Amino acid sequence: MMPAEMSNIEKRILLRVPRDRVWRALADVEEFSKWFGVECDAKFEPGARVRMTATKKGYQGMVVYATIERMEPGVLLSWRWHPGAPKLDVDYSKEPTTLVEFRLEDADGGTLLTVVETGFDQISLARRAGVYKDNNQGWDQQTESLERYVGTAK
Amino acid sequence: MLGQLNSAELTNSAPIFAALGDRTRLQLVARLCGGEPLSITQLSAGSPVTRQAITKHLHVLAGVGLVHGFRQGREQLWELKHEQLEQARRYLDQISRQWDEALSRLQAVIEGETR
Repeated sequence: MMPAEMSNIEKRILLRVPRDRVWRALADVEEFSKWFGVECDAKFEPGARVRMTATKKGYQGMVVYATIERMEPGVLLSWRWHPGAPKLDVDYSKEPTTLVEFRLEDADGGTLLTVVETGFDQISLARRAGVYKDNNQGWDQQTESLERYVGTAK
Repeated sequence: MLGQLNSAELTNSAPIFAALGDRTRLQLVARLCGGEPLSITQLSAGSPVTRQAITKHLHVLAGVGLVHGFRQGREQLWELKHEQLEQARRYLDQISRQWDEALSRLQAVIEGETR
């Protein structure tokens, strides 16, 4: 286990559609909400604090706030948030956040999307332990529901 | 006095990943990963770092609940608290998996349109 692995998460995925299509799925709040499985109360724009409410059964009503940092069309979208599922009895206003970055670049046959989440080295153990327990159940159910959505939307 | 450190209290506020973000401390954790409690003498063997510095680092690790110090006879021994390390690792695995799932859904939605 290396320090870098303990503080960052990085994901890459090749999407076989043009870059502007990927950008729309990220930056257009209606499109984003569908695949992310949330309802948002505001449009994505730099500085906006967006309330994301989970819409999936078994996870309904869970709220996370993302503060949009940068939006460079077709290139970069980033936000800050408190990672994982929040607990109702915890005041997160003073807790450190992680930074989520979506980076887009042209690739053979489509668009390479890289997601990087950084800053876990600042998150306390107590918080992380809670996140783990909460998320375990929620995300499984969320995934199932989304599979159903994708199945019917075509 | 190490055995009396209130590790529960310290654990609640201490950033464990930050504690691991130091080369010497990471090496100490790696050495203790074998499972057997080790003394300061054993832990500082072959290390360019002084015993005093090693002791300091062990206290930092104890502060976030990653290691535990105890007396055995005349010796102070240190052992790794595996469950804490495991918890930290599982947490990142969990978030990592969530991103995998989210990105798969994104892929299914936008690539599905063109089929």
